[in-house]
This record gives sequence, C-alpha cells and structure tokens, in this order.
Amino acid sequence: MAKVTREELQQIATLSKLFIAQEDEEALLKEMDSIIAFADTINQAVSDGDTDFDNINGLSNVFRADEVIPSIAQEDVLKNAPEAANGSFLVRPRR
Amino acid sequence: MKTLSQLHDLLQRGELSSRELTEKYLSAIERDDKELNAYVCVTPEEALATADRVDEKIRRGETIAPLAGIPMTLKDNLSTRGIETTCCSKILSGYRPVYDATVWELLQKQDAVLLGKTNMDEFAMGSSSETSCFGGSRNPHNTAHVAGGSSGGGAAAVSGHLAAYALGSDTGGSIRQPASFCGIVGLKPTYGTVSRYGLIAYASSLDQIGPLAGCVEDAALLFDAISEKDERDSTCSGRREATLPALREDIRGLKVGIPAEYFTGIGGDVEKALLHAQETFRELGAELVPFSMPSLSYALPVYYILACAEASSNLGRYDGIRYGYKAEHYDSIHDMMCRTRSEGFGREVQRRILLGTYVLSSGYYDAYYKKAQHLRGTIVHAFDEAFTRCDILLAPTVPSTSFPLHFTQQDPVLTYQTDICTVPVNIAGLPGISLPCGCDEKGLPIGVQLIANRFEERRLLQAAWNLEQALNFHKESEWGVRL
Repeated sequence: MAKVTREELQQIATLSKLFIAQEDEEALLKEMDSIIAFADTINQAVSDGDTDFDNINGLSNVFRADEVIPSIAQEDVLKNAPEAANGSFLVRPRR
Repeated sequence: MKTLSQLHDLLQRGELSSRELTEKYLSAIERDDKELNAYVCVTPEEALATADRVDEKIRRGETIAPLAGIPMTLKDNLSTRGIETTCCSKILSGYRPVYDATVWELLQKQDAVLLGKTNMDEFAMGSSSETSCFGGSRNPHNTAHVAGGSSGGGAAAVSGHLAAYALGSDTGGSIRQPASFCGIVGLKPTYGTVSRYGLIAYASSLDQIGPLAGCVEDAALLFDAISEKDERDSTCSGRREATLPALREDIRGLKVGIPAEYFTGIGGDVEKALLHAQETFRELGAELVPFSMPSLSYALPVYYILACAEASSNLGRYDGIRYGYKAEHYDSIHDMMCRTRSEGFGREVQRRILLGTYVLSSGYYDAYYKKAQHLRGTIVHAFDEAFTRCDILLAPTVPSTSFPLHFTQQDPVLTYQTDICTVPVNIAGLPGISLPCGCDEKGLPIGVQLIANRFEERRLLQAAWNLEQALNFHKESEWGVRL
C-alpha cells in the first residue's frame, strides 16, 4: 500500500482548495495513512465479473421537453451572497 | 405518549388546541434543551402562527390533515425558506434558503408545525453529532452519552419529547443509528422514494430523507406523507403503495433472513436483545433463515470511498461567492476560496474532502473509486440474491449502545467501523428501519434493524409493527412534554 507523502498531501489539498498548515501536516498524514490502509482492504476483494454498477434503480436518461418555467428570482438568488453588486455576485473585493 | 393519529384525533375533536400543544413543546424546549442540545434554531413565531391557523380551521368545522397542528422538527440540512439552514457548519452560517425542500413543502400542505431545526454532524459527516459547529446532542436516556449521528438532534428531540416527530437524512446510517441510540424508531426509505430536492447534498447516490418517530405506526404515517414522486429530483419516483393501511396484517410465514456477517463481533446485551427479537419473530409465526453474505465484509471501505468521493465533488460549491461564510483577508481568488474553505469547514469535513479528492485523483482512481463502484455492484447483487430466499433481513443497527461523549473524536477509522451494520443498506439503496428491542445494563437502548427489498416499505413496516407490538419496548421519558 502506498503511503501518502507530504507533497501528495499538499497536492490533494490544492485540488481540494484547502490550506493545510504546517503544524497540522504531521497529524493529518497519520490519519490519511490509516484511512487509506482501511480503504485499501477492498483490493483484497474479488468482485463478480458482471456487476458494473451504474445506478440503484436501473434508471436511464430521459430528456424532458425544453419548456420555460418560472425559476428563483435573481434578487432572491443574490440574497445569500456575501457580496453582490449590479445584480451579480462579487467575486473579489473585500480584502 | 400519544401516537400522531391520537394527537390528530384530540385536535380534530377540539379536546386539545394546536396552540396549547405547541406552547407545551416550546416551554419543554426552553427547559430541557440546554442540556440535550437537540435544537440549533427554534422558530416559536412561525410555529404559533401555524398552530393558530389550524385551530381556526377546527373552529370553522373543517377536517384537518393527519399531521396538521402537530409540532415537529427538521434536520438542519433540509432547506426551509427564510429560516437559517446551516448543516451545522460555519461555512453556511447565516444562510437562509430562498426555497423549501420538497419534504417540507409536503408537510406544510398538511399544516405541520415547525418548532425549529435540529442538530447534526457537520454536513451529516459523523456518528455522534459532535462534529456539529454547535457541539453535540446528548442522549435523553443518559446525558453522559451521545444522541448519535448524524441526525442526533432529531433523535434527541423525539426521544426527549421535545418534538412529536422529526425528519432526518441517512447516508450511511444517520437516521437508524441515532434512533437506535435514543430508543426510538428511525426509517431510511428506499433510494428514490423520497425527494432529495432541498436536502443539502453529502453523497447524492446514498442520501435519503426519512422519519424519526416514537413508534412504527408514526413512521409509517410519515413515510406515506413524504414519499411522493417529484420532478425536481430525477431519481425520485415515489412510493409504490401506502404502508399504513396494511400495517396490522399478521406476518405468519414471513421469511426473516439472518445474515451471519452482521453478527460477527456482536456480544453481551446487544447479542441477547437481538436473539430475543429473532425468537419473537419465530413466536409470531415467521420463519428464520440463517445464511451468509461474504461480500458484506467490504461494505464499509466501499461506503467510505464512494461517500467521500461524492462529498468532495458536492462540497466544491462552497467557495465564499454565492452563499455562506467568506474569509476576511486574501490575495487572490484561489487564496480567497482556500481560506474560506479552510476556515469554514471543520476537521472531519476537510478530512473527507481530502480522502475523496485522493480516491478520485489520477493514479488512484482505478484502485479505489472504480474498484469500489464495482464492489458496490457485487453487494447489490448479493442483496438481490438474498431477497429471492427471504422477505426481510434482521440485523443489529449498531454493534454497541450509545458512545460516551467525545468517544468518536479519538480515532477516525475506529469511528467509521461503528457504521458497519448500517452502510450496506445505503450501498444497495434498500429500505431499513431501526426499532428498540432492549436495553443494556446501563439502561441505554438497543436497536434491531430490519431490511427489505427496494420499494417494499409496506412489508418492512408490517414486520416492524408486529415485532414492536410483541416486544413492547417503548419507554416513557423523563424529559419534555407528557400527554
């Protein structure tokens, strides 16, 4: 089983858009290792040959008619935004 | 305690007003919730306004809906228009949804009285509700123990009589486990019977909303009320048939499967109570069918890989731009998102996002995610095969009774392992119910879990009702409202 390296942990954190402080690295590496060792037990399992899983209830995709229906008002959508201006979300300002 | 239908009759006949009932619950919350910490938000004004509306309908001689005027609660991951919904996470602090979850819409049509939102593990990730940013809920049977999780607040509220019923969500046992710990009934319906619209997503292929209730009859009534087809959740086709009308049919000849793997490592009072439940089924005329399901031994890692993978994707939406918390200081967009997420998510949530990202990343995808999906198919097959030989399955809900406070904060893998009996049902999309079947030497409740094939809630609830009546394990609580 592969052990998670410090570099890997930082790379995963970047992909996850999370910061890992240096003082947390050690503890997190240990936890990740034990969780991944636990996850790794599935690689001892032999699965049936023909059980590719798609979805539980055997659903298949169906397209509905493309009809215009009322949706949530723009003003409501913006109600929860930390910052908004001119009917849009503000991505950066506060610093 | 009164069942929901008894409460309904009292209200309809004018022997009790909804305002009177609601005020009793509100003052019980005021008195007891400091200790139980079941609620993260109480909504007295809304509750009393609905109660008055119901009382007015009764005064005018109208026939009210079965759940009208009855005080209840919703888990804090169910969207309620205008009422703060945080998933007990700092990252959603202050978030007030601008739409209602479908289940809440259905209950509002019946004039249900919402007392407030209940505590949970942050984003439903946990087994004790202690990952909540508001601190954990305590067990009404013994406050040195947890209520369980993730729907711990709802279970504590129902068990402590701070609500007549609650709705929770169950991704890997989050309704059944706290129900077992708190000595109440918890139903996780078939995947696709209850709309997930407005349920804040954790792992979309596993999440399902269901009731926490005082008895099986209440759970059946609630299941029938919320299991409607919904265009806004493409996986939701609704229930096949109502469960309440058939609840009291006898179960002679029912084949109850006993899968050996569920019982490994089970001992002491839990084992004794489970054996007693089996014997009770036999006395009711059911036939016990012992058998083995070897693929279950991989259910737990399969669950954690898939749930974390889905969570890492679902929780990508919390970026500090559209809703919730936003970091104060940053240098760039990337910096803003990373700071927002690192400051806003708790440790367990971050751990699961990291694990999910890891198992989906190039180089590990085949060994973990793909392999787990394949094994999910194997487990689904094993259940399909089991249901050709049995009508329902019987298993423990949890290998133990409720954990002492802070137990789950020690070792994540040890904590994950306590979900061993609940996750298979979610993996296979099956309905499962937990009901009380005994107590340990400390007086903490033990739950028995019954499992049926997909869309067979009717048979499941029938079996559960018969077992419940024969076991007669419902205990009065010292907490909350007594009627």
